[in-house]
Amino acid sequence: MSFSRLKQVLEETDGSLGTHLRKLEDGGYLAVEKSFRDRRPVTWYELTDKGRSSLRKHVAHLARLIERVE
Amino acid sequence: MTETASIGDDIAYVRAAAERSQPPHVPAIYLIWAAVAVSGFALVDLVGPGSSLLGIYWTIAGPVGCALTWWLAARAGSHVGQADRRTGKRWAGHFLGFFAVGVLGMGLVASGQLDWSGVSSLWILILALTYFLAGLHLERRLMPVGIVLAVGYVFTLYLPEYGFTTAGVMVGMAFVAQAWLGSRAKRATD
Repeated sequence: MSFSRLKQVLEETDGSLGTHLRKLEDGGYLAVEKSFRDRRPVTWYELTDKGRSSLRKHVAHLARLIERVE
Repeated sequence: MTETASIGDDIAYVRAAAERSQPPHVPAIYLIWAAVAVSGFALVDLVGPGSSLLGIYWTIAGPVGCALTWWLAARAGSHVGQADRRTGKRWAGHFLGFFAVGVLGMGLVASGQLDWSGVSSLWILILALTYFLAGLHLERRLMPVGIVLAVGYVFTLYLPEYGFTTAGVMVGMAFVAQAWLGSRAKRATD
């Protein structure tokens, strides 16, 4: 997803989103690719294998928490 | 805030974000396949089920339709800033599976167990299942198209004169309806 799309989906500000994305990138969870569209720079973010695996574990953990609460 | 309430808030946030991240609706894709279906199905009644023109038509229309679909979807994704290669591969695999099963079905003709009009109806039945399953697993809008294809298949069996044309028109209308419904839903959320 592009930065602007992430901002729209997550309803975050530029600064806050940028900080979070940089931390995820530094942690190896996101891969970043810069390109151009209509001469404007676009930054794309994609989950790495580590990021995808961590997301799956996080979702599984949430599901277990929900089961406990129910 | 209790742990339960906090988890509930987090899940609500993620759910809302997931809903906002739905892939873009591309009406043109539905309209392309409406045109392909109406033309291709009617051709069966026009030239007869055993005509080589049918093979020529679908050999060209199928891949061209798929290529246009891929291009339009990729362009729409690029425009909104969202591209999902994994889902794209699932779509490709899904319809390649349909094609593979359809080709295997030709073995029934080769072995003399089915005639050419049966093959045309068989392809429509397989397509009905393909679209129904696509509706279940990929894009909900395709499920009604699968159901209409199944009804169209029955018309091809029992309407000797214009069964395929009738099926094609029904399927074309189903595609157009989904194109319109998707656009309406998008306008409602914008």
